[in-house]
Amino acid sequence: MPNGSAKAAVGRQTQLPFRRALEISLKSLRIRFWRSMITAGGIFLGIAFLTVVLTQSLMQWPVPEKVDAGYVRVSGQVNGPGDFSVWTPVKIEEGIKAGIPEDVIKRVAAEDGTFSLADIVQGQIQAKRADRNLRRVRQEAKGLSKIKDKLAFYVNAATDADLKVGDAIKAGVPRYVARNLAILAAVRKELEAELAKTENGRETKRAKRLRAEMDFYLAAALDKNLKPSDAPGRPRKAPGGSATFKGSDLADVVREQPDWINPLYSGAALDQEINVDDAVRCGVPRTIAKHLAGEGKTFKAGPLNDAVKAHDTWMRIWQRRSERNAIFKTVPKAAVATLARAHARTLNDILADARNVAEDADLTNVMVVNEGRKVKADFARDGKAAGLVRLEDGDNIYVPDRNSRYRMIWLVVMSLLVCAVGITNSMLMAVTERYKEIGTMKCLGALDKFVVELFMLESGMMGIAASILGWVVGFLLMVLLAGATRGWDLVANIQGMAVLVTFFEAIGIGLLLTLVATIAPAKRAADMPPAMALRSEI
Amino acid sequence: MANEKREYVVRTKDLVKEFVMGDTVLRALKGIQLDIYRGEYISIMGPSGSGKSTLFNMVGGLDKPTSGTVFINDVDMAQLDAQELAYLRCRTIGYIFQSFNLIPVMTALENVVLPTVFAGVPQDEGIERGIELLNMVGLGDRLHHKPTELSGGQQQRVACARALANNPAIILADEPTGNLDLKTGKEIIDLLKRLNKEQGVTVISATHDLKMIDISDRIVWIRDGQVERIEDREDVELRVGVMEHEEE
Repeated sequence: MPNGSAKAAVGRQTQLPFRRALEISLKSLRIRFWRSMITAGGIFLGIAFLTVVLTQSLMQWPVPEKVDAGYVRVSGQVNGPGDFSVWTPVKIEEGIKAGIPEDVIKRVAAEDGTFSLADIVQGQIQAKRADRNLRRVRQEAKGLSKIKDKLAFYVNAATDADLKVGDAIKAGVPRYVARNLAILAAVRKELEAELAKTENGRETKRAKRLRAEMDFYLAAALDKNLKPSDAPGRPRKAPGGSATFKGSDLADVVREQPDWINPLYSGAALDQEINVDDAVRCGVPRTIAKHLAGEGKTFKAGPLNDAVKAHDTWMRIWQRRSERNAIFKTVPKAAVATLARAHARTLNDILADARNVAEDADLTNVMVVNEGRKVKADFARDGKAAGLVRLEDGDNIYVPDRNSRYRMIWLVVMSLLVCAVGITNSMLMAVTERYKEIGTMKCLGALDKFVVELFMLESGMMGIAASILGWVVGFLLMVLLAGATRGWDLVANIQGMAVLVTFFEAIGIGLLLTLVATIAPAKRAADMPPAMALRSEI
Repeated sequence: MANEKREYVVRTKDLVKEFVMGDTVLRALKGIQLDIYRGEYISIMGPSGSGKSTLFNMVGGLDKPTSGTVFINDVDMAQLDAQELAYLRCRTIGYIFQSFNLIPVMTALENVVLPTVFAGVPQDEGIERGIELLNMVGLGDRLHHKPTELSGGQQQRVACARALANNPAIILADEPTGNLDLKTGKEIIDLLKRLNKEQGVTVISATHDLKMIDISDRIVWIRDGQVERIEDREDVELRVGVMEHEEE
């Protein structure tokens, strides 16, 4: 047979352009949308799980605790948390040379000719605190001076004391109320005297008339509509400013008719709880109102009155402290910074002081944390050199235990395995169920390479999309869970760069596993004779 | 009928196919010699397990023979590499299967257009061709239906249209009526005959549907992996007539 020449009659099937493959695979994904979703679900779950574990591993940075000025704190696998001073003692001459004023040094100097930088720093903090409090107390005093007298009057009313009409009018009680109550008090006295005279308990005519008179003047104090004919006996003379009435009567009036009084004073007169917002509206400084209310939203006038009385004492206290610590404000910042740098102790110094580092301490991962400061020291790799980190005021040194590290590695490996099995399984299933389709496509003239390319594109796109979604969900889940259970500080402590790394890790692993799990069965199906692929039944 | 000038379109020589199943070796084809002329309508007849489908797969380049050769248009298939084989499957041969093998998620039109995509035909042209073919098989109104929305006969007609997409010289039909009832089976047979007559396509059909005999130019009887006899239609007409008569 003249094979050679005839063979030329058969052309070579050319590979379709990539764009065409992309079109077809996109269409295929769209057409079998729900089936793709199920497959993608497998990838998604795997990656979400992996992301949860990876994100969890990002939360190893401890949240720094607040330490006294001039101290660092050691915690973790050392014997008990302990605070150590961060600076070594400074010689007096050195301090003077650095620019610390002599009188300041005199205040803090020890007998051996050194002084502690921490004392100066603490003095500065105290000075600031005293100034701040003094400012607050002065501010409060302004507000309190306006309500002080009236408040005292109404608090007094609540104790049922005898109150003078003149004082009452000054405290804002309407004239008619004060005067009628004073008459009421006088009539009551007469009635009591009359009742004392009767022996058999039967009331005399005069007693009855006095009772009627009392009702009348109480009604008058409540500003009720009265007819002249209601007046019993001859009208009584209006009492002077020094006449008195009973606090409890005033409380009755306030209870019945509170229009003329603000909530703060009515609360005081009736000894009721006063709302913080009401109190602030009536002139109580918010800081005091809040302090008195504590956790709640209301407080009583009694404690407020006590606070008012104690206020002068507090003002004197803060005044004195402010004056005493003012001297520290003269210390130049630069001087303190220079000395702090020169006398900072290293991680080695502190760990040597701590001494009892536990057996299973993970010295490859000692962490120094402070506000905005994160330093890792690896003693296993760098030896003593790792401990040359110069500490700063308020640093937290955390020595983790080795087991937690092993646990984390174990978890990551396990999650990778689960992820791999999940993804491989779903991709294998998705490809093998399409063997027949692959056979058909080959009958219609598709090249092996094209079939594989089609499947790789399909699963690649699916892999990326599902991985991204899996990462987002896994990350959010872990962050929300950790935030809700262990505090948002922990979450805020995660480094952005590290998050980005887990993102690319998760997407990379997702894509890689998907492609690996696709290429094997797809290639197998493409390589087998179409007759065999067509025969397969899944 | 023997015309020396007619050219061969398919020739097989000592075609042997063995399947290894565990310890036993199954000889499905035991040296098949078969010459098929251009424009012929050939029926390959034989009982189940006789090797019809295996022969069909060999001729269609869907499987490799253990020994022996298949020539398509005088080209030895064994000499072809993957790309040439794909070219052949794409443009020279059209396949029709017993179980239709349409791609289930694609519409009738998309199924028919697919071979033109592989042939690198521009999209618009391919769609035009697909519509034309579906009109020809009488499915012009079902272009956008999925295979599951079509009856068996309609699906097989879509498969016929797909087989013709790239104007092949040969149509290989493996029991095209096997999954169809009598009436729709008849329709498909008529369609194949029409294609054979009008377009001069060589039709090779593996079947055990006796209705096929009526329209075939030649019938190849296969038994036990060997060609038992080859008959011209004139020779069997009488017998078919009897059999059809018996059925009625």
